[in-house]
Amino acid sequence: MKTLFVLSLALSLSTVTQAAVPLKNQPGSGKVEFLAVGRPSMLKIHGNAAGPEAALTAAGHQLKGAIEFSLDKLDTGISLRNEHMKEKYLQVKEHPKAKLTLVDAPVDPSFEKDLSNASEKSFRGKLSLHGKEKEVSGTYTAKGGVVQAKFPITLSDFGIDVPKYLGITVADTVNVDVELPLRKE
Amino acid sequence: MRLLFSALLLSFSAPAFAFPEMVRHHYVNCNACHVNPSGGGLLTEYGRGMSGEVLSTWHYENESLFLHGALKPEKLPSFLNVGGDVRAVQVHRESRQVREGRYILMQTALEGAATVGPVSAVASYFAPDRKNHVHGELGRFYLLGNVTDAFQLKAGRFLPAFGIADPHHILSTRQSLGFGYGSNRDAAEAHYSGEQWHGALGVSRSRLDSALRQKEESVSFQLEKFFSDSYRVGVSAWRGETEQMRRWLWSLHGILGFTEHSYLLSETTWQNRQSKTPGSAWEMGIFHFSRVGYEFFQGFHLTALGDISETNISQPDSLTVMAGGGPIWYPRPHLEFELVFTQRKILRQSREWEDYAYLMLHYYL
Repeated sequence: MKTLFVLSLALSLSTVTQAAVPLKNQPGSGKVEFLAVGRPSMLKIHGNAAGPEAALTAAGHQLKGAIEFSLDKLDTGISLRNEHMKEKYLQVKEHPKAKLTLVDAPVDPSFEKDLSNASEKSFRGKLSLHGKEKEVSGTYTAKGGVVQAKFPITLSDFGIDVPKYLGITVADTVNVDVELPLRKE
Repeated sequence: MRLLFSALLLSFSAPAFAFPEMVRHHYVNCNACHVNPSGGGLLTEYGRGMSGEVLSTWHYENESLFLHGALKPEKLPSFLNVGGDVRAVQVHRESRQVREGRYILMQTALEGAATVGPVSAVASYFAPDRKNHVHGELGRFYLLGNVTDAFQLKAGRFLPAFGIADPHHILSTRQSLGFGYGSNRDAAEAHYSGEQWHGALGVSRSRLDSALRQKEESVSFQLEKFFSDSYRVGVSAWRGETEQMRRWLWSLHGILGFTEHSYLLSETTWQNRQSKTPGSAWEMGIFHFSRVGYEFFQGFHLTALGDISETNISQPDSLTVMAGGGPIWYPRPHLEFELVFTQRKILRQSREWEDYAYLMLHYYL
């Protein structure tokens, strides 16, 4: 009887630790930013969009799920540049959303308690952009529920033409930063 | 009086223009918009585009092109880039002793660049004289070689990089140090314009017929670091020697784009100079300006300016102080208006403050 009780307790505790914790960000919170570099002159093109939508779960020392946002929300600070980016290169009418599905995003054992990791971690995911899906990898931190991830993408991997405008050519590699204030559902 | 206005003319005449405050839009290097890696003068194709999209209040399609787009780019040979500047100012000065105004034609330059492969030949022609008459004269000219995307070599007649290439030559960090009107020098310079750094190393020699009126041989160096893609902080050094004197210049400057609307430009330069006469002591001077600006709507800025200089700190009457500000408006591509009101005190002339104001009109082709 005693053995049965201990076994039951162990199993129930195990179930508790491995239970998926659903996580979401508040609607409109968080942001996605990118940095592209134009040559010559090393012109810095910053774009940002508010309100990515995350539907994640923390389970088994992994963060799982997906983050997506509307590409139409991207703003580079210059209207003509926005127009070129969205119509000519990202073709947002045909491909309105970008979606990052996490494949391997480890979390600390204590993550579920305070939504924090002790240190920066690597992650892998599949990014769906411009009608193509490719694996991407980067690093992320989590502190008090705020997840900040960064990863590079290669435009040509997603079938996006290298942007050129008035003698400036954007580098094929673009750095992406995502900030998500998460909360337990 | 004639001397005073000659000084005004020298202070206002601007051989080039640049908009270093564009760093707030992440234009960390000047050569995104200007052919010249030090900024100013002839615009690149991208610079013309941005003069409509980012700089001006209104624009129509192709308005920012040469001659307002009347001459289509495809009608010009692809190797040729043409531009030019006309800049004029009405100055007003008023104190207890004097009330006066004057119109000064500061700049009338036609500038062109011919590019073959990685090499561009750039030259400007025409200049006004002190009677506001335009005459033929070669101004700035140079050969520019693009060794890589980030590394450029330049040789010809131009002003080497030092401090902030601000178009306001009235600033003490410009004219007072020999970097204003007519200060183009025979020079050679190497530029590195990277993602995080800009550097320039040059040698130059001024001419007897330049504003400096001396043949100064100099070596100059500038290093700038970019932070957060909208802050540009740098140091410059200059070692010059003429037949009569030698000098060292050290400068710290910052071009800080706090937001896409607010910015601060600030520079402090220390000059140590010594006459070559035996027994002469080193003289130290300090030159500083700061200008803050806020863009209320696209193309319309209000700025505040502070400028203080002491050409020789051991002589208190060498102090000049100026403070003021006013609006700058770029209503359409090709046009710039600036109205500045200041209070100024030049101790060597008077212990009283005087009103000093100007309205500047700049038109670029």
